[in-house]
Amino acid sequence: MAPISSLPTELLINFFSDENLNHADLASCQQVCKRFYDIAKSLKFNYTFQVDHVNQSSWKLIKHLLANPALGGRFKEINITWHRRRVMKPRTWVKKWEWTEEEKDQIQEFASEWLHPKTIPAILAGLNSEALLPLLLCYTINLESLDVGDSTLGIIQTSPTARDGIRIYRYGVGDDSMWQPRRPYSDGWDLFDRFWRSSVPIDTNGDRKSWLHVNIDNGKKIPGLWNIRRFSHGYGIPTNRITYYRGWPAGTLVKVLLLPQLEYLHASQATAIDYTPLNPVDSRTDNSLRSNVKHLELVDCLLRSVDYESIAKVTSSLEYFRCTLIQKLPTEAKGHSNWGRHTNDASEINVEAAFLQHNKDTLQRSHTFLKRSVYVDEVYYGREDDINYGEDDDPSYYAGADFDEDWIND
Amino acid sequence: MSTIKLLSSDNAELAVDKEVAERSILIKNMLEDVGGDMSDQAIPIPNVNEAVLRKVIEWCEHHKSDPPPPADEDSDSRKKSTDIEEWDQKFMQVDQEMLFEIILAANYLDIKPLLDVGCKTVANMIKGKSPEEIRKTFNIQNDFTPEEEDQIRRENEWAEE
Repeated sequence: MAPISSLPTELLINFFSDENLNHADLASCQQVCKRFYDIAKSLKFNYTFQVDHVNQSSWKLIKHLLANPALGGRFKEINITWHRRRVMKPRTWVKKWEWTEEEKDQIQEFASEWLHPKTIPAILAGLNSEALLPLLLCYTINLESLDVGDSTLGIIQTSPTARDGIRIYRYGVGDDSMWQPRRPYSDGWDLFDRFWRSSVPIDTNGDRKSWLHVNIDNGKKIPGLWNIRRFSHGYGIPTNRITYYRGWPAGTLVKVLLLPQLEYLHASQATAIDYTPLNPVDSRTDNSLRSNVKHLELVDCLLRSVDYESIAKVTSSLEYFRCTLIQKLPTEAKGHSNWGRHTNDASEINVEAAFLQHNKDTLQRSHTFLKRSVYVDEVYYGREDDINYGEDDDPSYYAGADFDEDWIND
Repeated sequence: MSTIKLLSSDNAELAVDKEVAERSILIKNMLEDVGGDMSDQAIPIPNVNEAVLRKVIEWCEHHKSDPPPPADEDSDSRKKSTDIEEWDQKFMQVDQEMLFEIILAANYLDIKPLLDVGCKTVANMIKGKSPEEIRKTFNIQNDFTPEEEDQIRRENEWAEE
């Protein structure tokens, strides 16, 4: 007999529940032998949600969940990795996902109960698998932890031209026909917009968001969010240059703080600048605006002193607070580079004071850690870093002859 | 420093520092129950043989001054430390039979950090492998009928990466 077969079931459960193993490993274990199958088939697992991966894993998962909704109860943690289409790398261009008519009806019916209505066309369009995340969270009723990872909000990376967008769309839907735009064509961006609009959430303020943000802000009690205890959210910064980075909306951060079971929140690069400003809320008058979070980490967020104040006001039971203020930014330069005129007024002393004041009963000074970020010492390198997309593909591959160069560049 | 004696299942008597032996919660509780004075009598460890007990003691020696698991500190908790430290990795480079014996002993003696290292070692042997590779690694017989195998594969299609 194999030595491993002589071990008691509780130890095999220990092995299979290790945090290094994910859903795919557990699926492999089930296929090893009858004993492994019986043990592994009911265990909860950590799921790695791959956004826009060419293997279409997140679409396959939802298809399976539509037919087997009970599986949703076995998700313990969801960790998100981002694999957006890259302009110069056709091997990252995930194909469009097709639903059956029956599946479409099911999605309509189920999602309309929980999700922001605009999410449904994005799911049905089959191009942005991030739209499936809120739907998945409707099924994962026992979820304990969600790690959004270093989110990549733009659906195409990095800085596509209109032509790139159209080319990638046509590749995705399998339209290989020769196609000529009719002249005069007003603007390639119109076409870009028509192809991608339903897949990408853009609200009236022009905030860059994900469907997750849209649905958290929407305020419906999505089961998978309502019960989580840990939430982490970062933002992928393409370069060290602060001018290019906009982060994710701090308004959503406040909504996350208010999730009823949440105990731990790590947020990096949330921003209230260039986004809808944070509303100052008064947690003293309304208990539903009071967070139960005990452990809070804010790292490199683009926030003003008043924004920190607003966040502090929502908290009331912190036992641990760590905050790395964003580096001092220029105040005079043009465009985003002058963000410093907003953010430089937040100091270690006033931020700490605000949080100590609002968490008087629980937070001790010895459990607050504040510092200012120096250059990029706090930049995270995400789980995606070990993905090697290799050299750029042959540029002639995508700059093919199917349309005229200059119609779009004027 | 006081020394105690442990008696393995194959009747070998091993002398150990009390502090080292108390990495085992089972032994620690036992000593507390008898008031700490076990200097003349060996404590029987009926489930663990001498070779395994020596390994377990070696681990406890090395880790005798480990601090308790760190509480919150000024570090980034987002980077989970799931790695096994180097000394432990080397320590766990033993044949599978010994590996599982150590895990069983850690479980019986209630030495949680050693049990964790053992489980993590096994989990790393599973990680990223196909079912057939897992069977090979642990020398497990495939006892499914072809029909069952097919059925389970279809159940798990969604999970393929």
